Amino acid sequence: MSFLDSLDRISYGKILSLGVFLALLFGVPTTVLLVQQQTQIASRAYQKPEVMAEKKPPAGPIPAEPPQVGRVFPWVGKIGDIVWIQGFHFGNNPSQKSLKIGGVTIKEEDVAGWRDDQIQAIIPAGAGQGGIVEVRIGNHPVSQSLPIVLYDRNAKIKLRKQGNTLIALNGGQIAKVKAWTGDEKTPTEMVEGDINPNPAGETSVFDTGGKPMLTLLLFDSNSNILPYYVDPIEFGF
Amino acid sequence: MDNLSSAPANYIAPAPVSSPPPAAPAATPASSPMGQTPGYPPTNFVPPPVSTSGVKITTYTGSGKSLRGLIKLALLILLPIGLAVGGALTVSRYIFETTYKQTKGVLLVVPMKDTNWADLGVVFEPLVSLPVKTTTGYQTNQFLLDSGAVVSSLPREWATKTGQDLAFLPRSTFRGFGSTTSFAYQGEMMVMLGEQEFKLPVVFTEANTTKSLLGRKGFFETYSIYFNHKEKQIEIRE
Repeated sequence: MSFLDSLDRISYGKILSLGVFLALLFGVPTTVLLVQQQTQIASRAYQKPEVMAEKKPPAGPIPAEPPQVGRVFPWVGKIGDIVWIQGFHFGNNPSQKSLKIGGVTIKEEDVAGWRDDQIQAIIPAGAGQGGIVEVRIGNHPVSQSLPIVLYDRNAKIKLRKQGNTLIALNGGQIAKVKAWTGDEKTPTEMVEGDINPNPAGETSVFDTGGKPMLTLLLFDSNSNILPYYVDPIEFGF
Repeated sequence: MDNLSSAPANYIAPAPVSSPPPAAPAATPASSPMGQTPGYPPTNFVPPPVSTSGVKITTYTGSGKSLRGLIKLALLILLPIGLAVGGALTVSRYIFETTYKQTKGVLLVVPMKDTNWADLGVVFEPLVSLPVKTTTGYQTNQFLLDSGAVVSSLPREWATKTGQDLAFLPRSTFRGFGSTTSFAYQGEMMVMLGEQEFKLPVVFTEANTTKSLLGRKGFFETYSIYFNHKEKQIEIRE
């Protein structure tokens, strides 16, 4: 009797059973062997990028024209916030320059950028409420900005826009408003007025008439400047 | 056997498989006095009619046996090999992936996505989708892995979603692509990397100036990003 005849005498069920048994017999040790192999990674790992400090441009010459501060944008901010001082004749990082915000001289490292039409600087600790920005370059006369408003987490008044009207929330203390409008094409205009606040709700404080806002101060009955904050998205910054 | 040959025409002997004939006696039994062989019907015996329905008739040939034997042999060889190899590969692949993730500290594996550029052809995009914690639960957002960015960024509308007020976040300047500048607000975001939640520093910027980015601060300086081109996947490792 041949080998094939002998196999033929085994039923298919037994053949399958035997096949599974043999699979386990050889498969398990093979799997264990494969699993125990050391994984090899041929590629090199990603190298972390170096942290680079942004270099400032080298000191440039003193501009021929005296500096002219246009506006400080935005006119509201916190200690540590950056502001853009826009204007003309600032030079490109001139060698002789001085910048003050709220009466505090700004350190060189707190000047984020200085080019001919814009200075970027951080509002320093100690800056006074309603302070101004002063720019001096070389022997030119100092150029000053309009006052800016400082606030912190304790600020209760929130200014909102409703069309051209500025509305104060929680503005029960507001007694007086002083606002400036204009830009490089529109002459600067100052508007001052008394306010009858609505202690329980919204208080309309100013109508811009569609003119660009430069700054706005709110005063209480003792002529103290009241801090307030705005939603940056709503006011476009 | 002559007695059988005289059987009626409708009598069919059973097939050997179904009913093999009785083994031949070792010796011819002695005849009875009546001339009959013991164990066999008498000569005048007429068997009852047998139905053929349900009876399987199988014939064997030598080549048929060999073919079936060959099939069973092949089955006996190939079945264990197939099962063993398949099982071994499946198990080892699963264990390999698990071991690979553990040994390499892989937090997240993201398949690479290709973009077909008109002038450059197909190029993969280093994009990962991560769940970001919001006030209403997790919301998946797509980030560009950007080692050129100092810090991660999100459109500023995400500040409200994540429960942060832009007005009270530190404000800085963000330089985007092409040296465009805008204001950025420094906050934090909680993201899920795999099954773990991590806090990452982020700046909220104007949406039209930049995509959502994963930058160096807190991300590239904390995690290793591995572009596995062989597996076509991006791995974020501890």
